Amino acid sequence: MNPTSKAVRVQILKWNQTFAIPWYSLALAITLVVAIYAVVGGGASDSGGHTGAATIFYASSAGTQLWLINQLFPFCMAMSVTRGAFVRATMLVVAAEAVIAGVGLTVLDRIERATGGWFVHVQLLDLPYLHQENVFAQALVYGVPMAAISAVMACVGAVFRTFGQLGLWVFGMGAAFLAAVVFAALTLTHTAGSVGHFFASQPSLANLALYPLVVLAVFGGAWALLMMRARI
Amino acid sequence: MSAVFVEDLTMRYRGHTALDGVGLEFQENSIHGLLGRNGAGKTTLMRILTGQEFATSGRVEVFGQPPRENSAVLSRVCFIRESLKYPTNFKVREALAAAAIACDAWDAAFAERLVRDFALPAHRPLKKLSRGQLSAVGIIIGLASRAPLTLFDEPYLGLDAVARQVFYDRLLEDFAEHPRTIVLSTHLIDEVADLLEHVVLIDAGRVVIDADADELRGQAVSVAGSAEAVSAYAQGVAPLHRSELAGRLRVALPRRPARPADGVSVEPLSLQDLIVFSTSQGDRK
Repeated sequence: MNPTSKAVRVQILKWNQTFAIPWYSLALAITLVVAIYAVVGGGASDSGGHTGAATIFYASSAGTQLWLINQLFPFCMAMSVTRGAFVRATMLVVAAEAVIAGVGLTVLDRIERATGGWFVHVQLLDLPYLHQENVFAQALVYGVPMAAISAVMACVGAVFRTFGQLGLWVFGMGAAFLAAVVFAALTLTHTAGSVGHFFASQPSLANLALYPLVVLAVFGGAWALLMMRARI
Repeated sequence: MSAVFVEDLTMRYRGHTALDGVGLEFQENSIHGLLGRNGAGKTTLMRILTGQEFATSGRVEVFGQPPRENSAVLSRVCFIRESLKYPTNFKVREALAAAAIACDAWDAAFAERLVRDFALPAHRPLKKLSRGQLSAVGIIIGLASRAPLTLFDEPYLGLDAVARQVFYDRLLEDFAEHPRTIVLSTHLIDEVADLLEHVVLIDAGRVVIDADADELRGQAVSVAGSAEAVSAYAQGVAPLHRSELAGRLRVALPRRPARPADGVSVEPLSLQDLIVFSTSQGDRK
Protein backbone atom coordinates (compact mmCIF):
# COMPACT_ATOMS: atom_id res chain seq x y z
CA MET A 1 0.00 0.00 0.00
CA ASN A 2 1.45 3.39 -0.91
CA PRO A 3 1.86 6.10 1.75
CA THR A 4 -0.99 8.25 0.44
CA SER A 5 -3.42 5.29 0.51
CA LYS A 6 -2.38 4.57 4.09
CA ALA A 7 -3.00 8.18 5.10
CA VAL A 8 -6.40 8.16 3.37
CA ARG A 9 -7.40 4.99 5.18
CA VAL A 10 -6.37 6.44 8.54
CA GLN A 11 -8.29 9.64 7.81
CA ILE A 12 -11.50 7.79 6.97
CA LEU A 13 -11.14 5.23 9.73
CA LYS A 14 -13.47 7.42 11.78
CA TRP A 15 -15.71 7.97 8.75
CA ASN A 16 -18.58 9.45 10.68
CA GLN A 17 -16.22 12.17 11.95
CA THR A 18 -14.78 12.80 8.49
CA PHE A 19 -17.88 12.55 6.32
CA ALA A 20 -21.13 11.98 8.16
CA ILE A 21 -21.54 14.87 10.62
CA PRO A 22 -22.89 17.36 8.00
CA TRP A 23 -25.36 14.72 6.84
CA TYR A 24 -26.56 14.07 10.38
CA SER A 25 -27.04 17.82 10.77
CA LEU A 26 -28.91 18.12 7.49
CA ALA A 27 -31.16 15.19 8.32
CA LEU A 28 -31.97 16.83 11.63
CA ALA A 29 -32.62 20.18 9.92
CA ILE A 30 -34.95 18.64 7.34
CA THR A 31 -36.82 16.68 9.99
CA LEU A 32 -37.30 19.72 12.21
CA VAL A 33 -38.29 22.08 9.41
CA VAL A 34 -40.73 19.60 7.87
CA ALA A 35 -42.25 18.91 11.28
CA ILE A 36 -42.64 22.63 12.00
CA TYR A 37 -44.18 23.33 8.58
CA ALA A 38 -46.47 20.35 8.91
CA VAL A 39 -47.72 21.58 12.26
CA VAL A 40 -47.99 25.32 11.65
CA GLY A 41 -48.71 25.15 7.93
CA GLY A 42 -46.06 27.74 7.14
CA GLY A 43 -45.80 26.63 3.54
CA ALA A 44 -49.47 26.98 2.81
CA SER A 45 -48.99 30.06 0.57
CA ASP A 46 -48.92 29.52 -3.17
CA SER A 47 -45.18 30.00 -3.43
CA GLY A 48 -44.49 27.80 -0.39
CA GLY A 49 -41.88 28.61 2.28
CA HIS A 50 -38.13 29.02 2.08
CA THR A 51 -35.61 28.36 4.81
CA GLY A 52 -31.87 28.58 5.04
CA ALA A 53 -31.70 25.68 7.48
CA ALA A 54 -29.55 23.71 5.06
CA THR A 55 -26.59 26.04 5.81
CA ILE A 56 -26.13 23.86 8.89
CA PHE A 57 -24.74 21.30 6.46
CA TYR A 58 -21.81 23.57 5.62
CA ALA A 59 -21.41 24.98 9.12
CA SER A 60 -21.12 21.54 10.68
CA SER A 61 -18.44 20.47 8.21
CA ALA A 62 -16.12 23.23 9.42
CA GLY A 63 -14.70 21.29 12.36
CA THR A 64 -13.50 18.29 10.37
CA GLN A 65 -10.32 19.87 9.07
CA LEU A 66 -9.39 21.26 12.49
CA TRP A 67 -9.70 17.73 13.88
CA LEU A 68 -7.64 16.26 11.05
CA ILE A 69 -4.81 18.75 11.43
CA ASN A 70 -4.58 19.11 15.16
CA GLN A 71 -5.30 15.54 16.23
CA LEU A 72 -4.88 13.11 13.38
CA PHE A 73 -1.84 14.74 11.76
CA PRO A 74 0.48 14.42 14.81
CA PHE A 75 -0.69 10.85 15.33
CA CYS A 76 -0.05 9.97 11.67
CA MET A 77 3.42 11.50 11.84
CA ALA A 78 4.23 9.37 14.88
CA MET A 79 3.24 6.40 12.72
CA SER A 80 5.77 7.80 10.22
CA VAL A 81 3.34 9.00 7.59
CA THR A 82 5.11 11.82 5.71
CA ARG A 83 3.73 15.34 5.53
CA GLY A 84 3.42 14.96 1.76
CA ALA A 85 1.38 11.76 2.08
CA PHE A 86 -0.91 13.37 4.66
CA VAL A 87 -1.42 16.44 2.45
CA ARG A 88 -2.21 14.35 -0.63
CA ALA A 89 -4.56 12.16 1.40
CA THR A 90 -6.38 15.20 2.76
CA MET A 91 -6.79 16.57 -0.76
CA LEU A 92 -8.37 13.30 -1.83
CA VAL A 93 -10.63 13.20 1.22
CA VAL A 94 -11.76 16.82 0.68
CA ALA A 95 -12.40 16.08 -3.01
CA ALA A 96 -14.45 13.02 -2.06
CA GLU A 97 -16.30 15.06 0.56
CA ALA A 98 -17.14 17.72 -2.07
CA VAL A 99 -18.28 15.13 -4.62
CA ILE A 100 -20.46 13.38 -2.04
CA ALA A 101 -21.90 16.75 -0.98
CA GLY A 102 -22.56 17.78 -4.57
CA VAL A 103 -24.17 14.53 -5.62
CA GLY A 104 -26.00 13.93 -2.35
CA LEU A 105 -27.47 17.42 -2.07
CA THR A 106 -28.47 17.36 -5.75
CA VAL A 107 -30.32 14.11 -5.19
CA LEU A 108 -32.07 15.61 -2.16
CA ASP A 109 -32.80 18.74 -4.17
CA ARG A 110 -34.53 16.67 -6.83
CA ILE A 111 -36.47 14.79 -4.15
CA GLU A 112 -37.52 18.13 -2.69
CA ARG A 113 -38.75 19.27 -6.10
CA ALA A 114 -40.50 15.98 -6.84
CA THR A 115 -42.34 15.95 -3.51
CA GLY A 116 -43.48 19.54 -3.73
CA GLY A 117 -41.21 20.62 -0.89
CA TRP A 118 -41.20 17.50 1.29
CA PHE A 119 -45.01 17.33 1.02
CA VAL A 120 -45.36 20.50 3.13
CA HIS A 121 -44.35 23.13 0.55
CA VAL A 122 -41.04 24.06 2.12
CA GLN A 123 -37.80 24.61 0.26
CA LEU A 124 -34.53 23.95 2.05
CA LEU A 125 -32.32 23.12 -0.92
CA ASP A 126 -34.06 24.34 -4.03
CA LEU A 127 -33.69 27.99 -3.05
CA PRO A 128 -34.11 30.54 -5.81
CA TYR A 129 -30.47 31.63 -6.04
CA LEU A 130 -29.16 28.07 -5.84
CA HIS A 131 -31.53 26.68 -8.44
CA GLN A 132 -29.87 25.16 -11.51
CA GLU A 133 -31.65 23.25 -14.24
CA ASN A 134 -28.53 21.33 -15.21
CA VAL A 135 -27.80 18.52 -12.78
CA PHE A 136 -24.03 18.88 -13.12
CA ALA A 137 -24.21 22.64 -12.47
CA GLN A 138 -26.42 21.97 -9.46
CA ALA A 139 -23.85 19.52 -8.05
CA LEU A 140 -21.11 22.13 -8.53
CA VAL A 141 -23.15 24.78 -6.71
CA TYR A 142 -23.54 22.44 -3.75
CA GLY A 143 -20.13 20.74 -3.82
CA VAL A 144 -17.55 23.44 -4.52
CA PRO A 145 -18.46 25.63 -1.51
CA MET A 146 -18.00 22.52 0.65
CA ALA A 147 -14.43 22.13 -0.60
CA ALA A 148 -13.79 25.88 -0.21
CA ILE A 149 -14.96 25.83 3.42
CA SER A 150 -12.72 22.81 4.05
CA ALA A 151 -9.74 24.66 2.52
CA VAL A 152 -10.30 27.76 4.67
CA MET A 153 -10.64 25.72 7.85
CA ALA A 154 -7.65 23.57 6.93
CA CYS A 155 -5.61 26.73 6.43
CA VAL A 156 -6.69 28.04 9.84
CA GLY A 157 -5.72 24.71 11.38
CA ALA A 158 -2.34 24.72 9.65
CA VAL A 159 -1.62 28.27 10.85
CA PHE A 160 -2.31 27.11 14.40
CA ARG A 161 -0.23 23.95 13.89
CA THR A 162 2.74 25.90 12.51
CA PHE A 163 2.68 29.19 14.42
CA GLY A 164 0.60 28.39 17.51
CA GLN A 165 -1.97 30.59 19.17
CA LEU A 166 -0.07 33.82 18.50
CA GLY A 167 0.15 32.94 14.82
CA LEU A 168 -3.58 32.29 14.71
CA TRP A 169 -4.23 35.64 16.37
CA VAL A 170 -1.97 37.43 13.88
CA PHE A 171 -3.70 35.58 11.03
CA GLY A 172 -7.15 36.60 12.32
CA MET A 173 -6.15 40.20 12.93
CA GLY A 174 -4.41 40.36 9.57
CA ALA A 175 -7.51 39.08 7.80
CA ALA A 176 -9.70 41.57 9.67
CA PHE A 177 -7.27 44.40 8.89
CA LEU A 178 -7.19 43.46 5.21
CA ALA A 179 -10.99 43.35 5.08
CA ALA A 180 -11.17 46.76 6.76
CA VAL A 181 -8.66 48.24 4.29
CA VAL A 182 -10.56 46.85 1.30
CA PHE A 183 -13.86 48.13 2.72
CA ALA A 184 -12.37 51.57 3.42
CA ALA A 185 -10.86 51.76 -0.06
CA LEU A 186 -14.16 50.81 -1.68
CA THR A 187 -16.04 53.34 0.43
CA LEU A 188 -13.58 56.18 -0.17
CA THR A 189 -13.50 55.56 -3.90
CA HIS A 190 -17.28 55.13 -4.03
CA THR A 191 -16.84 51.79 -5.78
CA ALA A 192 -18.58 49.56 -3.22
CA GLY A 193 -21.77 49.72 -5.27
CA SER A 194 -19.91 48.69 -8.41
CA VAL A 195 -18.40 45.68 -6.69
CA GLY A 196 -21.81 44.69 -5.36
CA HIS A 197 -23.30 45.17 -8.80
CA PHE A 198 -20.55 43.09 -10.35
CA PHE A 199 -21.32 40.08 -8.16
CA ALA A 200 -25.07 40.60 -8.47
CA SER A 201 -24.75 40.56 -12.25
CA GLN A 202 -22.78 37.34 -12.28
CA PRO A 203 -24.56 34.06 -12.96
CA SER A 204 -25.18 32.16 -9.73
CA LEU A 205 -22.97 29.37 -11.01
CA ALA A 206 -20.00 31.77 -11.05
CA ASN A 207 -20.72 33.12 -7.56
CA LEU A 208 -21.36 29.72 -6.03
CA ALA A 209 -18.87 27.54 -7.88
CA LEU A 210 -16.24 29.54 -9.77
CA TYR A 211 -15.30 32.07 -7.07
CA PRO A 212 -15.35 29.45 -4.32
CA LEU A 213 -12.96 27.54 -6.55
CA VAL A 214 -10.59 30.53 -6.38
CA VAL A 215 -10.95 30.55 -2.58
CA LEU A 216 -10.22 26.82 -2.59
CA ALA A 217 -7.06 27.32 -4.65
CA VAL A 218 -5.72 30.21 -2.52
CA PHE A 219 -6.40 28.74 0.91
CA GLY A 220 -5.66 25.18 -0.19
CA GLY A 221 -2.29 26.27 -1.57
CA ALA A 222 -1.43 28.15 1.61
CA TRP A 223 -2.49 25.15 3.70
CA ALA A 224 -0.31 22.75 1.70
CA LEU A 225 2.73 25.03 2.02
CA LEU A 226 2.24 25.38 5.77
CA MET A 227 1.73 21.66 6.28
CA MET A 228 4.97 20.82 4.52
CA ARG A 229 6.90 22.80 7.14
CA ALA A 230 4.75 21.93 10.16
CA ARG A 231 6.65 20.63 13.16
CA ILE A 232 5.24 18.08 15.55
CA MET B 1 25.26 -1.97 9.22
CA SER B 2 24.03 1.25 10.81
CA ALA B 3 20.32 1.86 11.22
CA VAL B 4 21.13 5.43 12.16
CA PHE B 5 24.13 7.53 11.22
CA VAL B 6 24.46 11.10 12.44
CA GLU B 7 27.40 13.40 11.78
CA ASP B 8 28.01 16.92 13.07
CA LEU B 9 24.29 17.47 13.69
CA THR B 10 23.32 20.87 15.01
CA MET B 11 19.87 22.13 15.85
CA ARG B 12 19.21 25.69 16.95
CA TYR B 13 15.91 27.22 18.00
CA ARG B 14 15.76 30.98 18.27
CA GLY B 15 19.20 31.35 19.81
CA HIS B 16 19.07 28.12 21.83
CA THR B 17 21.33 25.29 20.71
CA ALA B 18 19.47 22.02 21.32
CA LEU B 19 22.07 19.84 19.57
CA ASP B 20 25.65 20.88 19.05
CA GLY B 21 27.75 18.89 16.58
CA VAL B 22 26.26 15.52 17.53
CA GLY B 23 27.75 12.45 15.91
CA LEU B 24 26.64 8.88 16.62
CA GLU B 25 25.69 5.56 15.09
CA PHE B 26 23.03 3.05 16.07
CA GLN B 27 23.83 -0.38 14.74
CA GLU B 28 20.98 -2.48 13.38
CA ASN B 29 19.26 -5.15 15.48
CA SER B 30 20.39 -3.84 18.81
CA ILE B 31 18.82 -2.09 21.83
CA HIS B 32 20.28 1.36 22.35
CA GLY B 33 19.84 3.61 25.34
CA LEU B 34 19.63 7.32 24.60
CA LEU B 35 20.15 8.88 27.99
CA GLY B 36 20.51 12.34 29.43
CA ARG B 37 18.90 14.95 31.61
CA ASN B 38 15.72 16.82 30.77
CA GLY B 39 16.39 19.27 27.97
CA ALA B 40 19.64 17.55 26.99
CA GLY B 41 18.47 17.17 23.36
CA LYS B 42 17.30 13.53 23.27
CA THR B 43 13.78 14.21 22.04
CA THR B 44 15.03 16.74 19.50
CA LEU B 45 17.43 14.14 18.12
CA MET B 46 14.66 11.54 17.85
CA ARG B 47 12.33 14.04 16.18
CA ILE B 48 15.00 14.77 13.59
CA LEU B 49 15.62 11.05 13.03
CA THR B 50 11.91 10.57 12.34
CA GLY B 51 11.52 13.59 10.07
CA GLN B 52 9.35 15.48 12.52
CA GLU B 53 11.91 18.24 13.02
CA PHE B 54 14.34 19.88 10.62
CA ALA B 55 18.02 20.04 11.53
CA THR B 56 19.91 23.32 11.24
CA SER B 57 22.98 21.57 9.82
CA GLY B 58 24.72 18.20 9.73
CA ARG B 59 24.17 14.81 8.17
CA VAL B 60 21.42 12.42 9.22
CA GLU B 61 20.86 9.03 7.65
CA VAL B 62 18.36 6.36 8.63
CA PHE B 63 18.87 3.05 6.85
CA GLY B 64 21.33 4.87 4.61
CA GLN B 65 19.01 7.68 3.50
CA PRO B 66 17.92 11.09 4.79
CA PRO B 67 14.65 10.57 6.68
CA ARG B 68 12.98 13.89 5.94
CA GLU B 69 9.83 13.31 3.85
CA ASN B 70 11.26 9.98 2.79
CA SER B 71 8.49 7.37 2.74
CA ALA B 72 10.92 4.56 1.98
CA VAL B 73 12.69 5.28 5.26
CA LEU B 74 9.81 6.43 7.44
CA SER B 75 7.67 3.41 6.59
CA ARG B 76 10.28 1.44 8.55
CA VAL B 77 10.21 3.73 11.58
CA CYS B 78 7.89 4.08 14.57
CA PHE B 79 8.36 6.82 17.16
CA ILE B 80 6.47 6.60 20.44
CA ARG B 81 6.91 9.49 22.77
CA GLU B 82 5.48 10.46 26.10
CA SER B 83 3.82 13.59 24.73
CA LEU B 84 2.29 11.82 21.72
CA LYS B 85 -1.09 13.35 20.93
CA TYR B 86 -3.78 10.83 20.09
CA PRO B 87 -7.06 11.69 18.39
CA THR B 88 -9.16 12.08 21.53
CA ASN B 89 -12.31 10.63 20.03
CA PHE B 90 -10.54 7.43 18.98
CA LYS B 91 -11.15 4.35 21.03
CA VAL B 92 -8.20 2.13 21.95
CA ARG B 93 -9.20 -0.32 19.23
CA GLU B 94 -9.39 2.45 16.64
CA ALA B 95 -5.94 3.75 17.56
CA LEU B 96 -4.57 0.25 17.08
CA ALA B 97 -6.47 -0.09 13.79
CA ALA B 98 -4.90 3.16 12.58
CA ALA B 99 -1.46 1.92 13.58
CA ALA B 100 -2.13 -1.36 11.78
CA ILE B 101 -2.86 0.58 8.59
CA ALA B 102 0.25 2.75 8.90
CA CYS B 103 2.77 0.13 10.01
CA ASP B 104 3.80 -2.39 7.35
CA ALA B 105 4.96 -5.08 9.78
CA TRP B 106 2.06 -4.77 12.25
CA ASP B 107 1.35 -7.93 14.25
CA ALA B 108 -2.33 -7.88 15.20
CA ALA B 109 -2.14 -11.01 17.35
CA PHE B 110 0.76 -9.57 19.34
CA ALA B 111 -1.17 -6.31 19.78
CA GLU B 112 -4.18 -8.26 21.13
CA ARG B 113 -1.95 -10.10 23.56
CA LEU B 114 -0.42 -6.82 24.77
CA VAL B 115 -3.89 -5.29 25.23
CA ARG B 116 -4.66 -8.19 27.56
CA ASP B 117 -1.27 -7.98 29.30
CA PHE B 118 -1.78 -4.31 30.08
CA ALA B 119 -5.47 -4.89 30.92
CA LEU B 120 -6.50 -2.11 28.56
CA PRO B 121 -10.21 -1.48 27.92
CA ALA B 122 -10.16 -1.81 24.12
CA HIS B 123 -13.51 -0.12 23.55
CA ARG B 124 -12.90 2.88 25.78
CA PRO B 125 -12.23 6.28 24.16
CA LEU B 126 -8.63 7.42 24.56
CA LYS B 127 -9.76 10.61 26.29
CA LYS B 128 -11.19 8.50 29.12
CA LEU B 129 -7.92 6.63 29.76
CA SER B 130 -5.58 7.34 32.66
CA ARG B 131 -2.07 8.62 31.95
CA GLY B 132 -0.63 5.15 32.50
CA GLN B 133 -3.18 3.50 30.21
CA LEU B 134 -2.39 6.04 27.51
CA SER B 135 1.28 5.17 27.88
CA ALA B 136 0.35 1.50 27.50
CA VAL B 137 -1.37 2.30 24.19
CA GLY B 138 1.87 3.86 22.94
CA ILE B 139 3.91 0.89 24.11
CA ILE B 140 1.55 -1.54 22.37
CA ILE B 141 1.76 0.42 19.13
CA GLY B 142 5.55 0.63 19.39
CA LEU B 143 6.01 -3.07 20.04
CA ALA B 144 3.35 -4.43 17.68
CA SER B 145 4.52 -2.18 14.85
CA ARG B 146 7.64 -4.36 14.62
CA ALA B 147 9.17 -1.35 12.87
CA PRO B 148 12.82 -2.01 11.91
CA LEU B 149 13.64 1.19 13.82
CA THR B 150 11.46 1.78 16.88
CA LEU B 151 12.10 4.76 19.11
CA PHE B 152 10.59 5.03 22.59
CA ASP B 153 10.92 8.40 24.28
CA GLU B 154 9.98 8.10 27.96
CA PRO B 155 7.19 5.73 26.92
CA TYR B 156 5.97 4.77 30.37
CA LEU B 157 4.90 7.93 32.10
CA GLY B 158 2.30 6.99 34.69
CA LEU B 159 2.82 3.24 34.32
CA ASP B 160 3.16 1.33 37.56
CA ALA B 161 6.16 -0.92 38.28
CA VAL B 162 4.28 -4.08 37.28
CA ALA B 163 3.25 -2.66 33.92
CA ARG B 164 6.80 -1.41 33.30
CA GLN B 165 8.11 -4.89 33.96
CA VAL B 166 5.54 -6.27 31.48
CA PHE B 167 6.94 -3.81 28.93
CA TYR B 168 10.54 -4.90 29.55
CA ASP B 169 9.62 -8.59 29.40
CA ARG B 170 7.60 -8.32 26.19
CA LEU B 171 10.25 -6.13 24.60
CA LEU B 172 12.98 -8.66 25.29
CA GLU B 173 10.85 -11.66 24.25
CA ASP B 174 9.81 -10.06 21.01
CA PHE B 175 13.25 -8.68 20.30
CA ALA B 176 14.69 -12.18 20.61
CA GLU B 177 12.21 -13.49 18.02
CA HIS B 178 12.16 -10.42 15.79
CA PRO B 179 15.45 -8.54 16.12
CA ARG B 180 15.22 -4.89 15.19
CA THR B 181 16.74 -1.59 16.21
CA ILE B 182 15.24 -0.18 19.38
CA VAL B 183 16.17 3.21 20.78
CA LEU B 184 15.00 3.72 24.33
CA SER B 185 15.18 7.08 26.02
CA THR B 186 14.41 7.02 29.71
CA HIS B 187 15.30 8.42 33.11
CA LEU B 188 14.72 5.04 34.78
CA ILE B 189 18.24 3.93 33.97
CA ASP B 190 18.57 1.26 36.61
CA GLU B 191 15.41 -0.46 35.34
CA VAL B 192 16.61 -0.66 31.75
CA ALA B 193 20.32 -1.09 32.38
CA ASP B 194 20.25 -4.83 31.69
CA LEU B 195 18.31 -4.37 28.46
CA LEU B 196 20.74 -1.98 26.84
CA GLU B 197 23.47 -3.13 24.53
CA HIS B 198 24.73 0.32 23.63
CA VAL B 199 24.52 3.63 25.46
CA VAL B 200 24.64 7.18 24.21
CA LEU B 201 24.62 9.91 26.81
CA ILE B 202 23.73 13.40 25.65
CA ASP B 203 24.35 16.39 27.84
CA ALA B 204 23.64 19.99 26.90
CA GLY B 205 23.27 19.00 23.26
CA ARG B 206 26.55 17.09 23.00
CA VAL B 207 27.40 13.40 23.08
CA VAL B 208 29.28 12.71 26.31
CA ILE B 209 29.33 8.90 26.22
CA ASP B 210 28.95 6.61 23.21
CA ALA B 211 29.92 3.05 24.17
CA ASP B 212 28.82 -0.54 24.52
CA ALA B 213 26.87 -1.04 27.72
CA ASP B 214 29.00 -4.03 28.78
CA GLU B 215 32.16 -2.02 28.24
CA LEU B 216 30.81 0.77 30.42
CA ARG B 217 29.72 -1.62 33.15
CA GLY B 218 33.11 -3.29 33.21
CA GLN B 219 35.20 -0.14 33.21
CA ALA B 220 33.73 2.33 35.65
CA VAL B 221 34.24 1.58 39.34
CA SER B 222 33.36 2.98 42.71
CA VAL B 223 36.30 3.04 45.15
CA ALA B 224 35.88 3.51 48.91
CA GLY B 225 38.26 3.55 51.81
CA SER B 226 40.44 5.87 53.83
CA ALA B 227 41.19 9.12 52.07
CA GLU B 228 44.90 8.28 51.82
CA ALA B 229 44.36 4.76 50.44
CA VAL B 230 41.74 5.85 47.92
CA SER B 231 43.86 8.81 46.76
CA ALA B 232 46.86 6.55 46.31
CA TYR B 233 44.85 3.95 44.38
CA ALA B 234 43.11 6.51 42.16
CA GLN B 235 46.21 8.51 41.40
CA GLY B 236 46.37 9.46 37.72
CA VAL B 237 42.70 8.78 37.01
CA ALA B 238 40.41 11.81 37.04
CA PRO B 239 37.39 10.96 39.22
CA LEU B 240 33.88 11.42 37.90
CA HIS B 241 32.59 12.06 41.39
CA ARG B 242 34.04 12.41 44.86
CA SER B 243 32.44 12.41 48.31
CA GLU B 244 34.14 12.40 51.68
CA LEU B 245 32.65 11.74 55.09
CA ALA B 246 34.45 11.34 58.42
CA GLY B 247 37.79 10.54 56.84
CA ARG B 248 36.34 8.00 54.45
CA LEU B 249 36.54 8.84 50.79
CA ARG B 250 34.44 7.44 47.96
CA VAL B 251 35.27 8.21 44.34
CA ALA B 252 33.75 7.13 41.05
CA LEU B 253 36.39 6.39 38.43
CA PRO B 254 35.77 6.01 34.68
CA ARG B 255 38.21 3.06 34.57
CA ARG B 256 39.88 0.70 36.98
CA PRO B 257 43.47 1.83 37.76
CA ALA B 258 46.18 -0.70 36.83
CA ARG B 259 47.51 -1.18 40.34
CA PRO B 260 46.68 -3.39 43.34
CA ALA B 261 43.67 -2.29 45.35
CA ASP B 262 45.35 -2.17 48.77
CA GLY B 263 43.12 -1.05 51.64
CA VAL B 264 40.24 0.00 49.44
CA SER B 265 37.04 -1.63 48.26
CA VAL B 266 36.39 -1.55 44.53
CA GLU B 267 32.93 -2.19 43.10
CA PRO B 268 31.49 -1.83 39.63
CA LEU B 269 29.72 1.48 39.17
CA SER B 270 26.06 1.19 38.22
CA LEU B 271 25.05 2.55 34.85
CA GLN B 272 22.78 5.05 36.57
CA ASP B 273 25.61 6.36 38.76
CA LEU B 274 27.91 6.54 35.76
CA ILE B 275 25.32 8.56 33.83
CA VAL B 276 24.62 10.84 36.80
CA PHE B 277 28.29 11.48 37.47
CA SER B 278 29.10 11.99 33.80
CA THR B 279 26.41 14.60 33.37
CA SER B 280 26.86 18.21 34.34
CA GLN B 281 24.91 18.77 37.54
CA GLY B 282 23.70 22.33 37.55
CA ASP B 283 27.09 23.76 36.72
CA ARG B 284 26.30 24.59 33.11
CA LYS B 285 27.40 27.96 31.95
